Amino acid sequence: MRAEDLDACLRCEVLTLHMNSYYGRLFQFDRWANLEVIGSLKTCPEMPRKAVALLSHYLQEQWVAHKLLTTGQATNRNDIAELSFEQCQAEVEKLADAWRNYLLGKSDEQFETSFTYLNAVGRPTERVVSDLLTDIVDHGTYHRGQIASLVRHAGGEPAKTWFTRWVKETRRGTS
Amino acid sequence: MNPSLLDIVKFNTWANNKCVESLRSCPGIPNEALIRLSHILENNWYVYDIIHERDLHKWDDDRNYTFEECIAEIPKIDYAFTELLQDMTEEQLARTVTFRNVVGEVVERRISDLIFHTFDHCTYHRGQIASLVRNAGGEPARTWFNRWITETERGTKS
Repeated sequence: MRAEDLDACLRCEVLTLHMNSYYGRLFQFDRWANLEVIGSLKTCPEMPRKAVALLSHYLQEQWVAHKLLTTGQATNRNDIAELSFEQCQAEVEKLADAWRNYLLGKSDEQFETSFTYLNAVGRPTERVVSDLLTDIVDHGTYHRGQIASLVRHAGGEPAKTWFTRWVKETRRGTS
Repeated sequence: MNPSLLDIVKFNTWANNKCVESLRSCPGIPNEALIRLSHILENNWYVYDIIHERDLHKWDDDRNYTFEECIAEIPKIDYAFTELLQDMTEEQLARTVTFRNVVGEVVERRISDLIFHTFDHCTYHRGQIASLVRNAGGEPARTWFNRWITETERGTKS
């Protein structure tokens, strides 16, 4: 799929979504939601450390998955350092670019191929590319829920990061 | 093309059942967690009614399902959304529905987006429930999508 076709899909100008536009939308949602989370953390009188740690965790896990998908290499989790809030901010945009580049040019068939890797506990694991991508997006949503609770407890304004809100705010809802 | 909506429904059912188990592991079920579990299940039905363009007034007030009612709703939701997705063509999933949302705005949404939303919303609150279960002295559920694939041997789609 050409870049301009992908853009049209992302703007919902075509009805039939190919896999790369389907996941392209999900990663755009993920980027938006992460920026909303960063905004919410800034509203806290004192930023809850646990919330930043969770944000760092799932952003780093995205890099682990990205490396796996692009190089086939697993990451030693002992090498992963916790990111500061400022680093998290920077990583959100880098990850958005990285996923966009990764998705460009992928055929539907490529999303359905499986590969084997050693998981975090050293066990050979077989995964389909599309499943790993779904896991990444879902993982972010899971921890954003926890961060919202921590932000509320810290006296901040939790981010409202529903998918339908992204659809509304970015006007990606209807053709 | 909706490569994973049916998978997401099946994953969600598995994850909600794990969530129920985790609540049972608590010395006392934390009410905040039960409220969230009820909320996500209610939202599944709310979206189901939007898709079927039904009267939404019955959702003006929260249902606040009991724990036992939550347990009973999980397989019903699985059945309803599985049947819905199996019967829908790509064109039908891409169709938009118009409805009045909870704050009274008239909005238009694609059916596929509504379905993704309601199950993504479940994941969001399951994260919160896991924290509440841990704080209550229970064993939080590990409800990653990847874990569902491993535990159900869904693995390679072959």
